[in-house]
Amino acid sequence: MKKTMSLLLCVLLLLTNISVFAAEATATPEPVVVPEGRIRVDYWCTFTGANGEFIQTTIDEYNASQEKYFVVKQYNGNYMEMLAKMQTSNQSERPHLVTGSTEQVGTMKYSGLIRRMDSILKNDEPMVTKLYGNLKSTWGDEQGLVGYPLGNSMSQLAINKKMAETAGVDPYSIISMEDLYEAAQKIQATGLCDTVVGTDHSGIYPNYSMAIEGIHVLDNNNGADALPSKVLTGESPAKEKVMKYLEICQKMQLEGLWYPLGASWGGEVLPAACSGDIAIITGTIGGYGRILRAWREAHPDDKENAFVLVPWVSVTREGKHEGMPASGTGFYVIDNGDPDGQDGAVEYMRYFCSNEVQKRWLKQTGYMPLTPEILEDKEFVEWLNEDRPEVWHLINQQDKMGSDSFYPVNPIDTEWKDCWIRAVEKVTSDTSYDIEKAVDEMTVELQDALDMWLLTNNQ
Amino acid sequence: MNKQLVITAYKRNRVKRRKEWLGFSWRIMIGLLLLVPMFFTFSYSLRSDVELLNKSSSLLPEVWTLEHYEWVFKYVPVFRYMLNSLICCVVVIISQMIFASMAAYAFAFFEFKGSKLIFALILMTTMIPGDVTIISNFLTISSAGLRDTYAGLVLPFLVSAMSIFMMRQFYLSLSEDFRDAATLDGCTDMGFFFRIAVPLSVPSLASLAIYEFIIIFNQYLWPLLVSKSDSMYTIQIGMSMLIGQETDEIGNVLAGAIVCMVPTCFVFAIGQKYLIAGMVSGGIKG
Repeated sequence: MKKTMSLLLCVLLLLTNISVFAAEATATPEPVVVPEGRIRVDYWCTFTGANGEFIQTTIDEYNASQEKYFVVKQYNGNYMEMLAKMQTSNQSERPHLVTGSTEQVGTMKYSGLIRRMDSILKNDEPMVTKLYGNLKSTWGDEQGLVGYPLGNSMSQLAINKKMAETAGVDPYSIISMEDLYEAAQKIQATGLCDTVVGTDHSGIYPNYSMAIEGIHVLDNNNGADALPSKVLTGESPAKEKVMKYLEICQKMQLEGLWYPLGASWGGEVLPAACSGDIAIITGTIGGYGRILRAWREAHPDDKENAFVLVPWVSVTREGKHEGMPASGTGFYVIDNGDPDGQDGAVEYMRYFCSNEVQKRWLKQTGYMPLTPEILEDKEFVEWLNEDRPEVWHLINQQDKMGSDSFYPVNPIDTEWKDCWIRAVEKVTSDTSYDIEKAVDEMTVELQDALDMWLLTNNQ
Repeated sequence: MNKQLVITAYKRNRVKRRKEWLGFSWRIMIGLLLLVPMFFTFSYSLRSDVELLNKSSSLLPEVWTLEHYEWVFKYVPVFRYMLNSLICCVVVIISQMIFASMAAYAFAFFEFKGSKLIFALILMTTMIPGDVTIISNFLTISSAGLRDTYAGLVLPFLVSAMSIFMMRQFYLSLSEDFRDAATLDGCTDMGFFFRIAVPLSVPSLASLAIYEFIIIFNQYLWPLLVSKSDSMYTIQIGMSMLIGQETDEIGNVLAGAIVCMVPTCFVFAIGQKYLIAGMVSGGIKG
């Protein structure tokens, strides 16, 4: 048995290693040598794979374009791991620039790690003035920008056009969870698919729903004012909307409209959408590029894009719809005690956000534009029209919705998202679970997280 | 009468064989159950994206492809990271073998003042979760200027209470007669240790080595914190790159998992006998 096992493993080793020779290029880490006289700029970047390679290309271009700075990209785990590493490192060992998510704006703002972007970029420079309003409010607070987006990855629903048509559903009429529930019922009734909606099971979506509804689920300056949050207690409108959201999730589970919640988005939900097992898939626009690629690979004869995109939804139809929360990734400049390196970081950031690079980046990732300026670029618009015309609806909606993202900049976003997930899981895994109880428990959990944050931040 | 005995013996034999078969079948079933995820991981890692996205449920790929392995080797410096992991494993294993066997020898064979207290204190450290000590370890390594070095990667793991305990249990199972006979033959304490105790503890040491290999090879957070440059990363960090932003293509992740799994499985397959023997060696005191 041992011999067989060893033999099998040797075959495995051989097989996997053969592919090295088959690979066009084998990655080998080369020690970074910073040319003499240039200022080293450390950039901790979460992107890997093809997107990571793209960013490396822009770094190489930038390094070649000037002789003052030399940017070095390093991978240091995902957002949270990178944050932990920064927090444990001495100031001088921290990088000059990092990528972080929209949800981390609050964490970064209060972390003491960063240099606020509004202290670096001038208020009247085009990078600030031309930025879409919802990006401004997502990436900052009333004072100004905390970080700066490098990708505008709006959250949305991708709806299978043919399935919706068969069920008599107008995809563009889906603007709330209530609409989503009704549309899913109609699609299920056609028998085209058993379950209808596949989701990226993340706490960002209920957060966004509340934001589009126009509700702040944390009060007292989003928890940072050291007072107990009362927003989810009593008869508050926030509590009512949170209950409504959970109630719809529960009803959809009861009626078998969800593709199993918690399924891996890339490994299960995406294949389900491509094989027609579900009609609606939630995600961000960055993920839509993958949906589209996957669909085209699975259906090479299908010349038309199969999906209609609509922005992520509010809880009720009466939602304010005045702000569009932006998902995605951005730059944070880190206060590591090396102002020269930080200047280099800003210069590289400016290069990355230039129209020339953005045009290529948007094609690579499928992200939405950061500024309307890029929509004046004929080549980019042609690509958009030909490759993914459905994105225009999102761009137009973003334009319409004004500049308020309503996304609360809170310091406990990780715990907040987890609270949401736990609440959704409670009411869906046990469809008799009392929704008010779930909200009460969520309130306690949120308050605990806030208390812990306040305690550790000497508030 | 004899015939009756033969029949009874035959029946007893049949029942015994039936029980053996049942036990054997049960073990095969459990084995298969454990192998199924590995089999599917391997099988799915050899399928094309089209097949993966069409949710093919066949056992084997319709079209065999190494494209995901190519991707893994293209974007992740697998060999460099694997080498770093192996260097860490070898250093930790050698160090643990030396320190654990010597400390365990002292605790098992010598009576000295405070030995029980010291051993209890050592055991108590196993009750502190690694996550609790990681920050203080990191600050120590950082202030010593050992970040981004092999020393920084391995230093906190050179000695462990678990391995001292494991070796002590083994030494306790050695009969006192060995030591008495060795002493009568004029063997010193160190002579007994090197000539008798260590050679006899080879299965336990091998088990310790495999156990440590699996732990160190699978480490993620510590190498991530300590290393700064690409050339110092370990294989688990490399594998995490496969689940980066917008890039968790399932085929690539599965191919990476297979690549990453092979050394551990190989070590386990070679040394499973020692691993099990070592784990149970302290169970029966000689």
